[in-house]
Amino acid sequence: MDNKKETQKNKPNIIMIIIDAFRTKNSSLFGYEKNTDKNLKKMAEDSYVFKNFFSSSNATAPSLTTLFTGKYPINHGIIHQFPYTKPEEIEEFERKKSFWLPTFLRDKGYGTIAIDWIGTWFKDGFDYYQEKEEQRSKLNRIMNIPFIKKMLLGLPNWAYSFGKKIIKTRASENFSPAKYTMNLAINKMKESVNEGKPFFFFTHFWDTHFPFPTTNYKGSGVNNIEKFIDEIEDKSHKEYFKKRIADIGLYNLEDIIGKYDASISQVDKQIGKLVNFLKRNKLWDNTILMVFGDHGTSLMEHGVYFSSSSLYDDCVHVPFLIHLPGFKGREINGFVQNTDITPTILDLIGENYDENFDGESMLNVINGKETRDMVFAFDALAEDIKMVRTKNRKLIIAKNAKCNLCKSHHHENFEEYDLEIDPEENNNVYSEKNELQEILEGNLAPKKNL
Amino acid sequence: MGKIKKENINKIKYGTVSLPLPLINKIKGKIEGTGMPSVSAYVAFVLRNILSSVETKKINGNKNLFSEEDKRDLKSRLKYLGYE
Repeated sequence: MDNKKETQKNKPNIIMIIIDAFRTKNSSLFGYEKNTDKNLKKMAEDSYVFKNFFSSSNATAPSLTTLFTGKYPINHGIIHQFPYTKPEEIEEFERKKSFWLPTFLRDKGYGTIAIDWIGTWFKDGFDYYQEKEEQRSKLNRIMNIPFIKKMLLGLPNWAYSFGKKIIKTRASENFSPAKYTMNLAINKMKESVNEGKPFFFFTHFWDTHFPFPTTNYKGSGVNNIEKFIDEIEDKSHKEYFKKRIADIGLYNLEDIIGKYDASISQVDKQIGKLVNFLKRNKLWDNTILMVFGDHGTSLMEHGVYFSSSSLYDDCVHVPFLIHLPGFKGREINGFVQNTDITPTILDLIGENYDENFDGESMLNVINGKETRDMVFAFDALAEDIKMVRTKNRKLIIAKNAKCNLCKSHHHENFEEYDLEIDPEENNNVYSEKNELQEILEGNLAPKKNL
Repeated sequence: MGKIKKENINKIKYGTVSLPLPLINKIKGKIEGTGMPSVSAYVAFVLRNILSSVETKKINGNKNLFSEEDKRDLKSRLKYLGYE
């Protein structure tokens, strides 16, 4: 075996598991009273669990772009979530992009596989990018039986197109349940192992995003939602609320939370399956496995209904745990962000890249060095909101707080919270300009080591 | 538990390239008052931008990142999740 192949062979495998809209509040690993994620708790026994991990965005597109660039949304260019991303943001992103983790790893000899459907630039650098092995529904399969296909092709064009359109719409809404997502991931992993080169796996579970499309959950059938609807003054906000309730088909808050919890457990079960697979196939001791939320969510808190549209902790404080081969792990309290993930991976595989990342390797924090005393986040669902948070204080500045989802406002112009006495962020104590405001308004946010 | 070894982290090595003196002088004049600290920093900045653009083209090739099919599927899924 030549040197290059030998070096590749010694590189650890890397697996990233994203649990969409997964907030710490509903994770038993983070103190939730219901046992939603027992497999994560088990994995935590020999992993590092970061208690203070914050996403730099409250939505998927900017968050994942940060993940693969190591930069804050205001630096990589993608600030807003699809479909609110502006053409100039995409142009800026394409112009600025010099580092993209999947491409980098592929160039270093990694097999790169993603199980996701969001596509666009997230496909870049992946040898394989799919949500499902077979994207055809049952109906579609029937339509492709030769004699039926022949008969259908004899139909007038308008009828054939109409039929195809119906099937396409159904298929597009048919999210892949966690079980199938993990089955596909494991099958692809087996193929990668057979190829004999290290692999980088990115697997994104959408089961936990409202209205939790893949989760079977009956609920109690109790209807007490009217009292919440009556309390909403803003007309568009009220309409949004009603629509989302109709989407999920549950009519009381306990049931909605119950379905979210069930969705987390559904994904958690698959992570247990993955860990077992890695151990059984002797991959556990040569694989870096990280599991985290790309952003959080709000179910009813702060008047934000069933979305991540705000910068309160519910929407940006997410679980993060990482298994490092050869280390037992422990709880870590230092501040970290998703900007730190790319520098951490480069650190772990012993690679450098001449790039001004906004993040730093988490190994520094593991080794006891505080790399940051504050974190930043940028709202992806409203026009212009940003926040800075220390361990005990948070400042939010909203220049334009109109929410693209419900068209109402979730933040005042200035909000400040004393998190020591008000961790739920209910009492705005902002009174005058202060040093946090100077940092946030002075565009110092992108600089590291603040 | 022992500390994780951290070798060669964030240490960027530098090499030397030769440029014609008139070009160096021209760059010196150009960067005056711009906040760019040195000719080397300016050259690195320009090259990085060019390489980034080449890399982006290499990555994307002739692939249309936003095909109509992609757009339709993405829009439909996002709508279902509440983004419309």
